Amino acid sequence: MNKLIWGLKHNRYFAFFSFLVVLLLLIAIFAPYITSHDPVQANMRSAFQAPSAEYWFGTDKLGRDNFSRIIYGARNSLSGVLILVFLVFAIGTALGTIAGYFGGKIDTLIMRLADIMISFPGVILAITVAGMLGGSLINSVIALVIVTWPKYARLARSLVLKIREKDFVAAAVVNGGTPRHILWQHILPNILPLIIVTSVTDIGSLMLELAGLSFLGFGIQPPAPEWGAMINEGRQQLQNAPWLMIFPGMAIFITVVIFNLWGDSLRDVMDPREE
Amino acid sequence: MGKKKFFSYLAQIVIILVGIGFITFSFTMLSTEDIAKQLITGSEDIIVTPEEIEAVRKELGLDQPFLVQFGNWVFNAVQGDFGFSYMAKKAVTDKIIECLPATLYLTATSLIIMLVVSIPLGIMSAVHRNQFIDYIVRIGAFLGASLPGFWVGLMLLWFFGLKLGWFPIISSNVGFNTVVLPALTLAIAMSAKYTRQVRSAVLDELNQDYVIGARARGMSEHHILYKEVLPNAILPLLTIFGLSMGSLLGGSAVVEIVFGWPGLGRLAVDAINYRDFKLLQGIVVWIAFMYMVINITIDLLYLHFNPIMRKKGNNDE
Repeated sequence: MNKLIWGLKHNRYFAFFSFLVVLLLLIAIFAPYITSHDPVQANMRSAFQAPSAEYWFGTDKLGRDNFSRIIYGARNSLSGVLILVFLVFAIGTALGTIAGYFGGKIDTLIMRLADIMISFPGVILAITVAGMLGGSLINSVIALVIVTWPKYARLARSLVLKIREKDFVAAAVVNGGTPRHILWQHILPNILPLIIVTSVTDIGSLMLELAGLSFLGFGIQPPAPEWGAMINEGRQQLQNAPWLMIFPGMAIFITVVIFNLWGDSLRDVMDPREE
Repeated sequence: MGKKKFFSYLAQIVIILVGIGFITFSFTMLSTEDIAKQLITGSEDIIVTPEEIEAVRKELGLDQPFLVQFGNWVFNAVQGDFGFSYMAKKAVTDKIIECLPATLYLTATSLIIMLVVSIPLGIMSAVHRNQFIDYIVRIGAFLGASLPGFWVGLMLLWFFGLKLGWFPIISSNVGFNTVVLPALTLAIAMSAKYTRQVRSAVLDELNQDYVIGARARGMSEHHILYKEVLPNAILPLLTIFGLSMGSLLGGSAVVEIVFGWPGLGRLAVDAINYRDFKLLQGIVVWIAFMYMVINITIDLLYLHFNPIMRKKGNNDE
């Protein structure tokens, strides 16, 4: 925590990118105040209008304002990816820590499962799971949690194995510390920073995968606005209304760039070593 | 490769394939839709009696307990029989074999583009570290890795297909004309990642002591780079190359959908939309199998090219 505050004060990049991330969140939260049109309400008289002063990013086949839909879409896209990152982080870390600390059968069980998941192209499994559960934001998040947790479990386990050998852990054991006390007081505080940095740097790529699932129709369902799903809708009007596809893609791209830059600068702040 | 090693690989493949089969099988059970009803009605809205549904369930073995169904499936799958696909109206294995060449063609083309782009750029970027060209390459790689693949595909389709008319928009035949855009789409994201890997692998080698030694002995930079550094840098890149090849085989679903490419990824998505679970399981297991074969091949190549590992490997036996 101190490092973060230090970073905000002394690392210009980190401060700037943190500001951009906060800005994105504010845009999502205050969407109703930024937009002038309803993102869901159809208005057939204004269908397929090119970008103009009234409709900045044009309108879709139901006459809905593309700009408003993108701004509201930030809510679904951002909340989806943040829930996803948190779940992957929590589940992966918990399982990896348990496997690494207790070892034995439970370790074998968890890591075998992780091996199966990893020895397989994640995308196809995510599509399978999301498709079978049925399209919704939560189901697409669940699908990606299932394919992503092994990475975090492996990372957490390897960190725990390293920390467990340290003298201060041995000292805690000798002093009669319960496993619970040792895990919470000695192990977790030492492994969490690195795992948190990893999850932050993964936000961008997870966002792309989540958008990919909703592009395929396995994510949030219409008429709710979400960037990946909007690109899928816009795809059918590629010829006469390319703005329906171009602008949501830009939104994803810019957001992913911001999160990736933020993640990179966070890593520099937490672990200042030369490249 | 010793016998012991061979069997350990084989066991690994079998365990993982059965595991994958079990996981996908469990998910089909979670699905709320009634497969038997779907099978009778298809897309039409006709009324079926519960007795008819029950008869089909019995015929498909859907009334049996989960483990029995799974056991039967494994028993048949081992013999190469993944059941009948009612979407394609033919055996699952036949349908997969029919779609495989398209996926392999797309994979190979995009891998070639990726290598042609990322190896020279990565080397250049490492050699001219922290100079103008390095910054350009790094920024390009960064932006490329942040682009949504399906969006890149649509933009290419819009620009080169619609605006310039260079390539067909929708065409399901597999040929040079149709492979360029999807392969380019896949290659952009992969090249971005791979360029970084090439750069850091070459940088790692350039920082080794033997490079300083070679320079001290007055060898030309050209000689050091091509005769000493690059052969050593290939090794770590091999693993990553294998991983990207594997994920391409299964992970190009989105791009295949965008371009209407008749490959395995698109087939998988179609299978889900039609609730054709037999077909889906076949595809998933097949992709897992290819993925593992590639990884094991890469492992073996790695042993072959790395004398230190080879020695260790032999001691294990």
